[in-house]
Amino acid sequence: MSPSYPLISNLSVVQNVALIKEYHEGWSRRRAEKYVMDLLKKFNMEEIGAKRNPNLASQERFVALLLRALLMPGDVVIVDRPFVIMPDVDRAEFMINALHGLEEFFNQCFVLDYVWNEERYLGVNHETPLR
Amino acid sequence: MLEKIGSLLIKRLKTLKETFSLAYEVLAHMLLPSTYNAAVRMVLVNQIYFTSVQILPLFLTISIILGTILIGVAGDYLRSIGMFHFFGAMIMGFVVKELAPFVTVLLIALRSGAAINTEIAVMKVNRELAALEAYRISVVNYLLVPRVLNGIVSIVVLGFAFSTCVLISGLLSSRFFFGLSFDDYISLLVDAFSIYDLVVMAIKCAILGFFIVFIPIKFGMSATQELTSIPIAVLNGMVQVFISIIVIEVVILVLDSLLVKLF
Repeated sequence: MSPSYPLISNLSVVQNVALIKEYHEGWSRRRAEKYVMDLLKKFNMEEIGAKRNPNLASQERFVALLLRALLMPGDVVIVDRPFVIMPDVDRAEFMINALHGLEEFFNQCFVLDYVWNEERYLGVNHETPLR
Repeated sequence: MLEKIGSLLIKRLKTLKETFSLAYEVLAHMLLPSTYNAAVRMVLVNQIYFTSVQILPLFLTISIILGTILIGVAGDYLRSIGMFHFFGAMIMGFVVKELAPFVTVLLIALRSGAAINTEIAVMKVNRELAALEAYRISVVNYLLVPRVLNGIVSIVVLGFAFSTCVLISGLLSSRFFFGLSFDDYISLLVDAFSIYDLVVMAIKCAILGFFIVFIPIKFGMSATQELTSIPIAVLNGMVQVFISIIVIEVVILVLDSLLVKLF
């Protein structure tokens, strides 16, 4: 996932994420959207399902982008510059917790970020290592 | 000078080649059943709703008003020069075959063509097209095929709807202006009816439908990463749409005349 690849603006969050299952695995729209809504419930974010990209808070946008990336076939997830997506968030806990909540979707996770964001990860990295 | 003309010509030819190769790709993907997965089917349904259904009240009103006025004026003129027996041929040959596709394509180009052009240009600027590619979602399958197919289906269906409305409003106006009975009006139309005219109209609508959607998409995709490229892409796209409408109309008219003369 990357800030360079935004959500499709004329689709809601649930449609954006469900699109991956519909397109790559041939799921029906109803099945794919129900699946995505169940995932959003994990974050208590069901209400963002009907929202479109411009109406999302930064953390909501991060979750939507993360879910879309995780539904792609593959074992590795690369989180590119998360604090560009969430500029108003000071620490990495939210991201780490979100990744922990979705661990079943990937085997390896790489977070790429600018050196000047290093402080935002201090402590978090060592206390909550990801696979 | 000569160098400038040559480089401009080469640039134009390259653009034309790219356009036709993309058009070929869209057509080829359109014929593949595997293109139509759940996501693409949903886009197709939405596009048909936005293009054909939402426009219906405006479209039907325009076709009834235009049909009534046109048939009234044309019938009156034919009667004044003593050629009222050509009334049916005029309605079927001119209104159904020529006017219906033209008015339909003009309305759809103004409304949906401009909207699609802007939508694609904005998606390009926002890097949404890049996002689709990054997630291995074919831009041709997901964006182009449903929109272009919708253009073809909508113009053909709305073209026939326009003709039907004109024929029905013609029944009322010919009765009001010329005192034609229902039976006389129908017999005039039946005498002038030809399957060939309907086939030409359908083919013309399909070709126009393809290009008035394909060209705005192509020009929308030519937008750069700058916001200022959006109005330029829309402007160029819409100008090309109108040029292509005129070119297609003329080419089909010439081919039609040749075919009629030959057979």
